[in-house]
Amino acid sequence: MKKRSCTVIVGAGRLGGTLAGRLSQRGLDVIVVDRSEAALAALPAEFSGIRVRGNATEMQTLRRAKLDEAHRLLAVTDRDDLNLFVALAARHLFGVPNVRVRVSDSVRQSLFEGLEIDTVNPNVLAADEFATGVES
Amino acid sequence: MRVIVAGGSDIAFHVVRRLQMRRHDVVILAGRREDAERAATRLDKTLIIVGSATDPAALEDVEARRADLLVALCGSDPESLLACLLSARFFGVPRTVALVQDPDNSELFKLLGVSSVVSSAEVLGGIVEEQSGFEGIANQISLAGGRVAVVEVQLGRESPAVGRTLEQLRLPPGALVAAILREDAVIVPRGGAALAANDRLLVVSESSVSAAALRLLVDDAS
Repeated sequence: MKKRSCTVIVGAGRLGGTLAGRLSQRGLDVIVVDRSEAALAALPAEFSGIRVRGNATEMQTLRRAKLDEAHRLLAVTDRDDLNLFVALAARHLFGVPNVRVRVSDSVRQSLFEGLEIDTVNPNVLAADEFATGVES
Repeated sequence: MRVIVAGGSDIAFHVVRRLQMRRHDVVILAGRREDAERAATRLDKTLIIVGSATDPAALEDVEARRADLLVALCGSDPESLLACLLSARFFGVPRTVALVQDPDNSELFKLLGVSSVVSSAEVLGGIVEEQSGFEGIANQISLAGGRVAVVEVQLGRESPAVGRTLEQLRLPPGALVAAILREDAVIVPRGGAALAANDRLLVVSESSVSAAALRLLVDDAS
């Protein structure tokens, strides 16, 4: 099936919201999924995409978010297990070519990488940033 | 076998007790302290650790590297899946079994190599479906992870099978009558065995052909 170039973001918290706003500003088609109506309502003004309310661990919700047509999935909730679950469904059931997830723990990070899922560990990135220029 | 049971629910407790009765060496990883404490009051000589099987540190604490099997009864499907994958791929646990809450998720678990996936909703739903059409079915057991059905069925007088031989019955491939209970005798039949009213048959079949086999034996009540 031809993939539209659309990005699905799962998780509309502070990270997800900021990310969604940025990508909208770059002109990308973005769909954001979250369980909470309040979180979806609180997405930043720059966000111009589609909101889907639902539990991302249910296949029905992922279908409503048009995951079968997406070419990128970014799973950025604060739960590593949720992010992994959605990423694996995206890759193995929906054939999404680009899948990247937020992960907080370095052992889990190496597990995910072994499952061919790109990861971003905000804790490591933040620690690197704080450590920059700190010599003594 | 060294088994890790991940989960602190009642079903986890019953699984642990059953495993211990079969002399397996069981360790429990309960996510919540109250669950761990409750389990501790009901179980003897069992190592119970508070922690999540999705946490690599907790899996280290229960020496997952030495475990033969993990049973994932975590609160949610994503937790159970992560627990299975961490155990298998990071700690080398050879076999994982998971109870899945949403039957739609079974496929993903199987794709990712979880050895056995059980969905109680699916098993019960399947049994209800088969029961709804048939009277005279006394017992149904599901084996081999749901792939084999063993059904005990009594032939009523109006059964289309009465007076015919097993060969004449032409059960679908994948189904057979393993035993006939007639009065007090247990007969392990060959093709020429004739069926009589009130015979209780033990039918073993691949689950996918079980309903078709049963239809040949009993009146379809629906």
